[in-house]
Amino acid sequence: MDEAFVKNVAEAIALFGFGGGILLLFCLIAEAFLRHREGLKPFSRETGHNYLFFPLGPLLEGVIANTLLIAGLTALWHLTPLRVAVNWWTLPLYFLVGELAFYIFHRAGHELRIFWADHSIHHSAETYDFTVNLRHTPFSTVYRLLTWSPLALLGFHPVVLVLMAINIPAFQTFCHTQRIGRLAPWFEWLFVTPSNHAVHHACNPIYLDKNYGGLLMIWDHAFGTYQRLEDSEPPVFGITRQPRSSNPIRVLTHEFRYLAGDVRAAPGLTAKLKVLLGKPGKTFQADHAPDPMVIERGLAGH
Amino acid sequence: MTELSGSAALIPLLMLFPLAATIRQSWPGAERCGGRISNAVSGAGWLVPLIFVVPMCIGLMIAGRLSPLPQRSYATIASSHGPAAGLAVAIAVVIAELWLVLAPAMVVLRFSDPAQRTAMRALIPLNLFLGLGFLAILLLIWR
Repeated sequence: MDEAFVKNVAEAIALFGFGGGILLLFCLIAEAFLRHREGLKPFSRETGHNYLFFPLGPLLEGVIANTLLIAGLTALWHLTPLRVAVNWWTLPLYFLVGELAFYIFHRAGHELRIFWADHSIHHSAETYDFTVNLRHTPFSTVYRLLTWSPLALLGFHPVVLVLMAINIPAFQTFCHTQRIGRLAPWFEWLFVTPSNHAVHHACNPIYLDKNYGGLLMIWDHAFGTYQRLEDSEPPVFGITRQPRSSNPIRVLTHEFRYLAGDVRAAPGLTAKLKVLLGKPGKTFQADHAPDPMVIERGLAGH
Repeated sequence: MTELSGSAALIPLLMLFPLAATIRQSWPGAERCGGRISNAVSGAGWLVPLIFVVPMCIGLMIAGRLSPLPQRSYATIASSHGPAAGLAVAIAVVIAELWLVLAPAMVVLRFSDPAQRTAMRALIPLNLFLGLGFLAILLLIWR
């Protein structure tokens, strides 16, 4: 791979990140300001957690994990004779494949318990505002690498793929708000918007495992996971086994503890693997002692 | 000096559409726009490239590679990449600045619950304050 090209791309990612960071900072200030205007506390226990988990994103992911991710994908890319050229004409293809990559990664984060244990940290916020963006998770790079490997083996340039699949869905940052209502129907159908991303963050049965898209909803339409926000069904934000602890370590390890308990109790290796790779709420469940700091909403662990 | 090819001269022309879409989003009477021509010229679809353009422009401003003053950005880029690229970048700077100082507050206000609009109106001065403050800091640092 051309070193100068990689350096340019890395620099572009950094500049893009700085610019996006300023816009996110504005959103956070506006969020605190509006909460104050609405007579709410500008900061709550949950927003405290959101800020606390933020370094997991730009520091752990942005600096270390993404480098490892690109290195891992590049190693695979060198194993294949297939190549998808990077030029002006193939950028739309990279854009669509980047969206698909994000969709697959995101869906794996919801539908395989081992990954849901990590991704549920982002979803365990019971509010839906700009601070939820800060609620990063520690292991997302692991399932990015696993789910994007086939695309690297198909010859998609790893750096451009990662750039497309991570930076474009960063648009979602500006969708974590209840303050914007439904937009034009065609826009809601095609793009991720505050209302259809609210569906994604809701734990009402009809909204579970829906709307995985990053910027576009096209892959949700293609794979049947699109769901519009219904006026008759206001979203309930959070997860079905909701942690209410004020201890951030307990919030971070919440689903991992249940997963470990279920794997330990599952009889035999096959059953243990089924717990790890099964769908949340549909796998073997051990008897867990009731926890006063956990609210059960049904479909445990989803 | 590296001159861009003839087809690249279309880039500043294409940048006018996202600019028109941004102005439309920043304008209080935007709900009244809905004709076929106005949608073709300034429809929300033209905002999609801004997902790249706006954060990138702000990042370049932070790094001191672009000035918040469009004419200075034009001069910088035109001297190295030609006038077409300079013009495209100057338009991009104007778009980024509109998104820094006004457009987000106007979008939120337009699509918010009507019952909450009174509380939301204060977003406009806040947006202006944050955006102009940020640009002023950049100008002070990189003058």
